Amino acid sequence: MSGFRKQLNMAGQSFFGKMSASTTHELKNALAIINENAGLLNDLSQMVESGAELSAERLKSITGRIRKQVVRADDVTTKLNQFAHSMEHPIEPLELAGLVHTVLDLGRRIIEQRRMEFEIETPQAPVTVSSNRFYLMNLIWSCIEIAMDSVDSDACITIDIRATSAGGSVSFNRIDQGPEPLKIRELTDMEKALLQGMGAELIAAETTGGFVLKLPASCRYQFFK
Amino acid sequence: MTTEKVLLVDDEVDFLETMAERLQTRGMDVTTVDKADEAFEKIQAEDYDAVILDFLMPGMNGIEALKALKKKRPDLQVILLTGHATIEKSVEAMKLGAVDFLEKPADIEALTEKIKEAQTNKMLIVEKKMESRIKDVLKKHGV
Repeated sequence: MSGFRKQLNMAGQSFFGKMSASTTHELKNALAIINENAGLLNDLSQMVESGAELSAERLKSITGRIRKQVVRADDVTTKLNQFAHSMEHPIEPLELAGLVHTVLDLGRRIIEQRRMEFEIETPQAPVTVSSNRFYLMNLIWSCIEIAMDSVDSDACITIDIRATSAGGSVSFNRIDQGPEPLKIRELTDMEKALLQGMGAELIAAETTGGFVLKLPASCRYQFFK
Repeated sequence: MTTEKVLLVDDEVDFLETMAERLQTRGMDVTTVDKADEAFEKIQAEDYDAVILDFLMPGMNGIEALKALKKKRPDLQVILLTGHATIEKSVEAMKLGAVDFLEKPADIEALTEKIKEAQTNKMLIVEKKMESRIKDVLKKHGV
């Protein structure tokens, strides 16, 4: 196995681990709330058996909390399922804004833990590139990590997606009034392999600040071969 | 046995509210906070028998928070609750003085038991301190 291929595999495994940890942590939290509310219903039913009164409003409030967490857990599970299916096609047309949304949703717990906020500037017309879904999500997540690594917590970062003559671009910039601008730290070997595999470039945006991920219209690397 | 005074720290507000209600129905005096910073303020201002701390909260590393809490209040009885348990982290937390490391969803009866144990530990520590102070006073007066 070549060094490049090994780094790409390692990047993929690391990304898969992080996203799985983030989403299952969310699921655990939703299940914990459902568990406590089910337990509370049990506590209340024992109190009713002992002669205490229980209002319909009280019951509605508890079942409402359970329903809210079921919706949350279902949403996380749907995204995790979509993520699991992201390996099915070596190359497919991918709409960039949707993909960025999915990555932010999958990594939400990690982003919140670092007290960061991301806002997506959705393009007027969809920007589509032909690439590998899993590794492009991995590369976008790497850019999110690079952005988070370059600033302290409590930063608000905008992600701007645009069509370019060569394909598409995803720009990262700081929109709050924080002291540190976004910059590209030294890339790891895994990040370099991802950029190479996707035929992408990560460059500093001299005029606007921050950095830009430039993607080709069509990725030529033969994934899963 | 006196009422157990508990500080519950978790960023999930629905979890806080429900868990607090369940512990209150078990006779405990429960205070809740959804931010780590507020927990530090509370333990400075009040004395708790047990602190139930979510291991992963926004902007807070559970191990670092535990270290900081124990530094401020070495006698503090901290029970860590987590949706992200690893054996490595739980061993580290116990070495740093956590009373226990429970995984979410936690069993309320097990948690209640841990809180009662924490209160007993706390009382023993306070008693030992008192005993030591009394001995010092008696020594001073040549008794």
